[in-house]
Amino acid sequence: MKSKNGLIGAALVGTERSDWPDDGELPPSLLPLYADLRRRPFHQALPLLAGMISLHEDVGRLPAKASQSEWFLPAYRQEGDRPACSRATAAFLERMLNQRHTDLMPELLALLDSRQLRIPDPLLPHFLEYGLKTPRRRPMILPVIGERGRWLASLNASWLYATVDVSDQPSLRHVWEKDNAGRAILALYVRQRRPAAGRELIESTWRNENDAGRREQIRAMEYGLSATDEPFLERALDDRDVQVRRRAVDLLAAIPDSRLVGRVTRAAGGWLSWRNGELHPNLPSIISDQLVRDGVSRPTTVGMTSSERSRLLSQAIGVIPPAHWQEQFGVPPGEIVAAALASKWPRTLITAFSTAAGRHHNREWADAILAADNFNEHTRAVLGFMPGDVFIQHLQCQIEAENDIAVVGLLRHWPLPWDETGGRLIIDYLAGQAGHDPDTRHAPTFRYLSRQFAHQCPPGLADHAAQRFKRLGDDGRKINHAWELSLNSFASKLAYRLALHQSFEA
Amino acid sequence: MPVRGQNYVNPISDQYKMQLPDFNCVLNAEMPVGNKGQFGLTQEQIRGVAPDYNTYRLGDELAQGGLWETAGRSVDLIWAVFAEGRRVDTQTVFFTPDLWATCNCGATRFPCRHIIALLLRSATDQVAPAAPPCWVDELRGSRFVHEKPKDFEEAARITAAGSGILDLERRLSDLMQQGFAGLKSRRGSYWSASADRLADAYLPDLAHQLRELDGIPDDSADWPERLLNRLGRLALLVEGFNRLDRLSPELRGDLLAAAGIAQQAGDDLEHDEWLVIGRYQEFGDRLRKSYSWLRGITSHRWALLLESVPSHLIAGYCYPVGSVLHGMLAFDPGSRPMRACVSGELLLGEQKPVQLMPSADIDTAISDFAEALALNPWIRRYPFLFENVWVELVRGRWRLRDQTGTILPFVDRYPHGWQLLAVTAGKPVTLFGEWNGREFTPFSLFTGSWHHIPAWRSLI
Repeated sequence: MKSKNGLIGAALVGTERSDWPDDGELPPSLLPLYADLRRRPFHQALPLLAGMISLHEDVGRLPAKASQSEWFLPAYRQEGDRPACSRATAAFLERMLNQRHTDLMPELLALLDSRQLRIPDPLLPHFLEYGLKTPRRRPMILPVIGERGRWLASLNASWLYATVDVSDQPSLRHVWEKDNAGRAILALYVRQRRPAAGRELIESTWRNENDAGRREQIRAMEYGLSATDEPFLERALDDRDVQVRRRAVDLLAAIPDSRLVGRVTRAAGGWLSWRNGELHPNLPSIISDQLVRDGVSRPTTVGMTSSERSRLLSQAIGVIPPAHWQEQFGVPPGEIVAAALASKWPRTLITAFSTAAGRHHNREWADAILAADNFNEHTRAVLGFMPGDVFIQHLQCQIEAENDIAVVGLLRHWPLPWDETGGRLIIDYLAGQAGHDPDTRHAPTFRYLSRQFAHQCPPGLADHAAQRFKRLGDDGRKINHAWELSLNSFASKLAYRLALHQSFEA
Repeated sequence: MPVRGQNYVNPISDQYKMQLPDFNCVLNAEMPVGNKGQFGLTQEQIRGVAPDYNTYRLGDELAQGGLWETAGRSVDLIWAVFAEGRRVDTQTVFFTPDLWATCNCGATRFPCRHIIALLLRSATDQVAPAAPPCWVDELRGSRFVHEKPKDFEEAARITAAGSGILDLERRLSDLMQQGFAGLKSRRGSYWSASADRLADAYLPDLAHQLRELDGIPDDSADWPERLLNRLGRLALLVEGFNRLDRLSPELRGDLLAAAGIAQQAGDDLEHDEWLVIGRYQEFGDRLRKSYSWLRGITSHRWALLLESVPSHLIAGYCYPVGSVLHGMLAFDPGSRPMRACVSGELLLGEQKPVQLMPSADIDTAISDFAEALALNPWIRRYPFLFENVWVELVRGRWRLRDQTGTILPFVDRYPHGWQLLAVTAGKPVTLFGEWNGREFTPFSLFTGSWHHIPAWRSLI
């Protein structure tokens, strides 16, 4: 409106420096008012005139109309979507988003996934945003956002990572190609569910990835590892990046009967000899190129130093199946382990044997190593495949023998949750440790580990832990403050986990 | 035990009368106490009481935590004492029939986290029956009520406001003579002195409007036009105030409401069941203003309850969004009477999911607003209730669309758009909010029950 522009101009420079705008283009209904206001000084009339015109415009303003092409909302398919979790569980999720008990988020998300539930609607955008900012959590978030979460993510370009449907190859390809930064995490997520599809994705862009990208992606191969991955990993042995090559060796060594295991066994199967009940290393002076390719480092000096010999032994023997030595020497594992402990390189050989036993899941060797080596820290590799009940038996034996070092070693490296028997055993053991005055040598370690224990213990034992720790105080024994804090924290964490589990029943 | 902020004297608002204690201070321990379910707010409704998400979050954490010293419930109240270390303990009480609460903490938002925590614990039956302590009854006596005093002197207020209006008129004239060009260099300070004088003249709403003008210069390309429009409305208000005696009672009521001058309660009374459908707060001039939008279930009338309390007082009514209250409201005179106060008591009624018969499409709502604006040029908030509207995001801006394709833009950088989309899943919804003439602010959403949107966790 011409007259309004005149008014704005007058208001900007001031009425002292401008004249009345003409009444051209003013609506006829405002003309009498305009004429009335002309009788006043301009600086008084100007705001009234502006107010009058803006009111006239506002009263007559019509809302805008949307064009058909402006917004196309893809349909949300409710059929087949998971139901949302209960309000009680949603309250836990919301608290975790608010940085409360975030250490329990993986457990809660896993619980949601195992019960085929999803995150409730109002929290979906927050979890999508959380996954965007915390990529390591994506494999846990993606299954529990459900169809609704995927639908919502498809409307926001920054949530592209969450649009992936692991069962749909085109969807996987689309996200893989568009989201370079999220490839490693996507590879891990897909490998956990469809290992072959995950490997295909990695292979599809492997040549064009930079070193850091390849290092991250090959880590994902650890999940769902099988003989079908061998050709790809064999190619990775010739990668230009040393970390990728080492990782490929580790993975191939863990595949039973892989070609790498065969090659190393043939090349290094005679490096140890058995004479008069003793183990003697018999290292070659030249390391072949093939062996170097298979992960054995070539010594840098002409005469091998002891550390280089030690490295050669651990790299080669860690790959060879332990049964090979049993077969070659014709003696049981216990004797070989005992001889290794009595040899010149006891720690190197025991670590290598336990690595090999862990890779090839050899229970006989694992038991022999654990028994002979007094559950030393170096034997952690064999704990990874041990059944829970066997672990608890070992633990009980060591507790009864008051072998605290072995108990620390077992508990520190046991990666899985405990069963109820194990939980009670360890709670009682902790209570026993807390009752010692003065502190035992390993008390600070146990107190530190109690934080990890609170995650491994079955939540159903929350009452047992609370009562056991309370009884400790009631006995009249003096408990130091550090133990009191640790046990309280243990009991409260367990109680919180119990409430979290019970929220699913609400 | 000393209680901070116990003397609830509102320095500027004598529209609230002080209610004297109506029963003896000490209750006998054998008095009957409230049973479960007597106070039946759901967790969602308690969320609807919270002024914002942060307060709700802190209240929830407090409800889970161990700072509770004592807590109990009685026939008509629940209370708690929170240990605060070396500081004075925090005492919180909530009167259940009329939803009045108070706390002696130093929070700026109301209800504070202590009140939210108390309600959350009560909702999960974690508050045991007990006889209330003495301090609770002292607080019971100091509560204020909505009802306006009988010796209300509207004329005195108008006289006091005259000096502020005169000052504003002079300020407008000076600015028009000098021009806006110099305002950019004085951004943030030009209007503060005038706003202070208006606040001193008991015109808090006008003062608030004036302070808002400080942010306009240079905030967008069309700022001169926007500033001139706002000044134009103020000039119309000044003009109207100078002719107050000659205005119709309705326009006079609208003008006084726009200036923030409380009026003598009229004889426009309505007794109904009222659904609380929206709540929000504004701060300024040492005042906390709580707005509650109510809708008569039978009468279909809109009512806006305003509670203006000094910001240091943590006391007032907590009407949860989605709850049903019953009682009589007295509406202030106006062309479209909406501003109301309670006549008698407004009590928590039977809780039931209520989906109101909403207004029609966006076109009809805008046309209704246009009619109201033509009658009252100073409307700053107008209730819109829509059914079958879609929430959309187009070119980074959230908006509503109805079946006819008419759109209504949300406020800029609206923080709950993605949650609305997640909850609605692209389906049409029932939504309530406020329209300020240019932008829409959603306050509540109906999905089987009413949800208080501002208490959702914000995404930005």
